[in-house]
Amino acid sequence: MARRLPFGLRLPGRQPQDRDDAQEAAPEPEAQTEAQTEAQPSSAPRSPSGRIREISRPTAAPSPFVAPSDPEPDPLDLPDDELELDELAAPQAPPPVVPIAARFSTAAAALAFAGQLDGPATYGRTREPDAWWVRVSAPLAVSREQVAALRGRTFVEVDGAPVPDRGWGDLPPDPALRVADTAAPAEVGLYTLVRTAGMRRADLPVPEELVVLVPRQEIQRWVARALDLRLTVRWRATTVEPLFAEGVAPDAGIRFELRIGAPTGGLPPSLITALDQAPDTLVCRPVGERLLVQHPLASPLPDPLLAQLAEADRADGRWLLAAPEYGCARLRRAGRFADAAALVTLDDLPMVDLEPGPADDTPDDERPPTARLAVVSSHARGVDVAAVLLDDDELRVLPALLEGRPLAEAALLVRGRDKHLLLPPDTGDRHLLLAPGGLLERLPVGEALECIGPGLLYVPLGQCLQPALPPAGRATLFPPDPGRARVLWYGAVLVFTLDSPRPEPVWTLWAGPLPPVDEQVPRDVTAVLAEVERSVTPPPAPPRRIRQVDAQQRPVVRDPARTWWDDAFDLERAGELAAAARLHEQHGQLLRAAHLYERAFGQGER
Amino acid sequence: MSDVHLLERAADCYRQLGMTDAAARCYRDAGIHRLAGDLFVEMGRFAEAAAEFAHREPDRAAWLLAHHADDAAGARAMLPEPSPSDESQQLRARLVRARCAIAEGAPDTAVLPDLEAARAALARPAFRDPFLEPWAVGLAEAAGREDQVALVYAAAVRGNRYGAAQRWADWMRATLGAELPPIEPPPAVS
Repeated sequence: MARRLPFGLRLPGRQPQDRDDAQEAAPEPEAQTEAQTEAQPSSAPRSPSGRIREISRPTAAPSPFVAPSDPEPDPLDLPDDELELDELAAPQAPPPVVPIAARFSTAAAALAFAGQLDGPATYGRTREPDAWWVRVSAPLAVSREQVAALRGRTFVEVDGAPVPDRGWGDLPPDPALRVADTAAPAEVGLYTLVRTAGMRRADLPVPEELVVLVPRQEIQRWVARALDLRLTVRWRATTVEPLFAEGVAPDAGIRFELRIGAPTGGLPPSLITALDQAPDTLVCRPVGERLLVQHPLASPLPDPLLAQLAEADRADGRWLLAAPEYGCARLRRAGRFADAAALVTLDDLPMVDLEPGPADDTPDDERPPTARLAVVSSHARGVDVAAVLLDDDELRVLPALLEGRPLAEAALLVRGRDKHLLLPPDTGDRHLLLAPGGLLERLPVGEALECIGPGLLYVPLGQCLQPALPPAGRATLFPPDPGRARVLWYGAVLVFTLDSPRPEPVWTLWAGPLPPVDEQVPRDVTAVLAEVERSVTPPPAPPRRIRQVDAQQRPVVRDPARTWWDDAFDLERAGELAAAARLHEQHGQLLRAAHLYERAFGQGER
Repeated sequence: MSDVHLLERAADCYRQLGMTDAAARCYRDAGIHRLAGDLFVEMGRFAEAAAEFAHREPDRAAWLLAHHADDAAGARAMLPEPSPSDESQQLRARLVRARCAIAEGAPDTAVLPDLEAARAALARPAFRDPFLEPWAVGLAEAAGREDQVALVYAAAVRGNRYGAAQRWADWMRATLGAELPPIEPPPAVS
């Protein structure tokens, strides 16, 4: 009895021992192929090259697979090359096309076979045994080799039922050899095969253009780096939804799509490696119009067929096939591609008039500077944080960060007094958080600063001056001033006053004023005190001439609220770093002392 | 306070804090190579330690390269020609060369004459060289001759070197898992 299966496979009913035989004898056709081939007479070749060789020998018997050609020239009269060209150009009958059903144990193998096919194919799956089927009409001799190379098994449909291929020749096997399978293959789409097969890491060449999906906080960094490498970058926003979710309203996320290309040469591998290692960043190569594949991954299905599959998807958007760490997604564009150079400011070129004449009445403060001192990126390994520049929002979170920590005892806050005139108008107030001897801690907020001296002269950590200035040059341009801390910021020098008002301890941010003090004294004590005061108070003295006392001769009254931290900070501001270091060392602040000693050495203090 | 002294103070602070790396950097920048080298040895960074000792104690640097940094060629290049009148220098150079030979695959018997000379020197109380005993022990261990290690310690005990018996006992316990029998103190010098 026979069963009708999907996509036309017709499997006959059979006994259990038949199935066992069929499964165990899976490699049998190949073995049979070799045995039969060896048993064939030499006049039955199995490859086109064999045919050419046989034809070139006039004594050999004619092959039954080769159409006779007449008149046959005498090969002995022709040069060898002419002979071969002539024979190759001779018309040959195309091999017969037969309906083939190929069975594979993995979806990847089925996809690899599908990638070799020229014509349309249908796909199926059986659970018992777990196998993937590809059904196609193709020449048997070639398909048999392809299937065997992928460790699959070839069947030929004879009268609608699959019959194991006998292993040689172009002809279908004997229908009497048909076997039945236990379960009917359920028809599946190529989409399912692609999804099941997954991706593999491939050794691909560096493509000429890459698509990078980045979150918003990373976009400027990567655009700047790509522009530094003289690459072209375009950007746009893209919504990202799960690819395989069906019938579920996906929660779309937003990513930015960077198209990075190399106008000359290829993309630098170092950039690709850095992008690959960045968190939440995905490097893809475009395959066709509607498909992105993570670089350097690949599907077993060749890229052109994969692109066709994506283009056949009726839903809009593009496919993104990526490793499980990121996930496959459907991308829908949410903006237009634009040149990404506008995202970062590398070198602002001023607009100047062509050969300004004597009538140029541009005010001096509007003239573009011819040269200016700038801060640029530099190597900053092993440098400690001396201070932090904070804006208003970051200042608000400072109590949560510092309350209860030892740094709260030493840290001082210098508030910015006004909107900055030199910074962009949306820049809020800036505040400086510093400590005697340096903060020496990396805070999660604010811009970390490094003290380069002389005095309290800071640059952002990881930056240096361009052009580089020696200590003497810095001392000339920025004369030491104990009353000021200066920050060389991007495009401006921020000056913070340290004398009036004095920097406030940072703990005042979260420690409010004391409640009213009410001294609880017993009533009789109050009465006794009042009596004592009345009895001992002398009569008012006549007015005396006030003696002028020189201020120098007055005894110095030390502020009781003043601590050794204030003394150390004053010494540091005055540039006496070694003395400040000794004070820190005496009070057990060894790390600050060590840093101050090193700074004193660096500034050539004696 | 001189510039160098500032760095030395910084290094002292770092050492008290246990920041050996920073302390070694400061000592090196201050030109105090011996202290910097000691700290690099403490951290197991022998090549950097050798670079520090190369200024004043090239034979010590050569020993570090040969015994710890597995750089026999560098050790041979760094080893100075010993002064003929300085027995200590000559013995050190012999031990370093023997250690290089072991590193280059020489048989263990090749080091026996050098170890014998070192033992003879160690047995003399008047001979003072703090590195001779540890280097001889290191050489014998590198050659795989535990018997020679014991003989070196025995010579050091005979030479009345401070703590030699304890070092011998510690080595016995750690290497052979055996206790050293009590050693009679050497006869007092009359």
